[in-house]
Amino acid sequence: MICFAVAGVAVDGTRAFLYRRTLQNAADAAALAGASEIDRSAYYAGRNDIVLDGGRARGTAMRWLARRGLPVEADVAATPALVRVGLRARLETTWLGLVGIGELPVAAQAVAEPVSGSP
Amino acid sequence: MIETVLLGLILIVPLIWALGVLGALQRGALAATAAAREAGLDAARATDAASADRAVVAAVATAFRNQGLDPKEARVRWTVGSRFARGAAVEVEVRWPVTVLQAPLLGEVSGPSVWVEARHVARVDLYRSRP
Repeated sequence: MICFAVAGVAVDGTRAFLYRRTLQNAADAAALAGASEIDRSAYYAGRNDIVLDGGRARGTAMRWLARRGLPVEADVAATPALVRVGLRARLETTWLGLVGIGELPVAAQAVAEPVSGSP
Repeated sequence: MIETVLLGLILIVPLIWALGVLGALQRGALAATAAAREAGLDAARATDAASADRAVVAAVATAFRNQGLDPKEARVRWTVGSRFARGAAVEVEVRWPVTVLQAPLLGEVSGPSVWVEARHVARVDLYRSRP
């Protein structure tokens, strides 16, 4: 039993770590894509404000997530100041299943905000 | 005594082999995800498709070298919507072969491979100045 638990931590822990990286990459890309949806009417109204169009930012972030096709629960929120993308998934275990742990929760979050000028 | 040695060999040899393969799989997966991510971001910042291609090759090579792996063995595919324009999606897919027949200290033996792969989709900035 101890061998299964140790093998489970090594194998499934690694899988969870790698899957979290995948989720983080997807969340980062979605947040960055959403954060480029500037509210042009606010900008051209003469205020020169770099603020987001919340609806479009959220929609773009969701579309970007859909492109990745990951089986995750997504929580996307956009305000004029930022886009926040939270992803949650449950990874089915292999070895840890033998010691009664059938799933591991994996989550990632990314926040992006628009800035003017060159990065 | 004989049973102990036999049982020990039956348990320990596969365990050592599995450890070696697991380590290689993790290293390959780390390199592939880093390569896809960096290549996607760099390609999305490029000024045109040709420089994006160079950026992808360079980013993938750096990511694999950082893990001590030879980038020549990586398979890279990248696409960008209908044309390389503002707002387009740059999609990068990186695949890496991990040789199954290997063991710690002995290294890789030629044979079948398991492919680890990673994907990243980045957006070309809508407002970046372009030539």
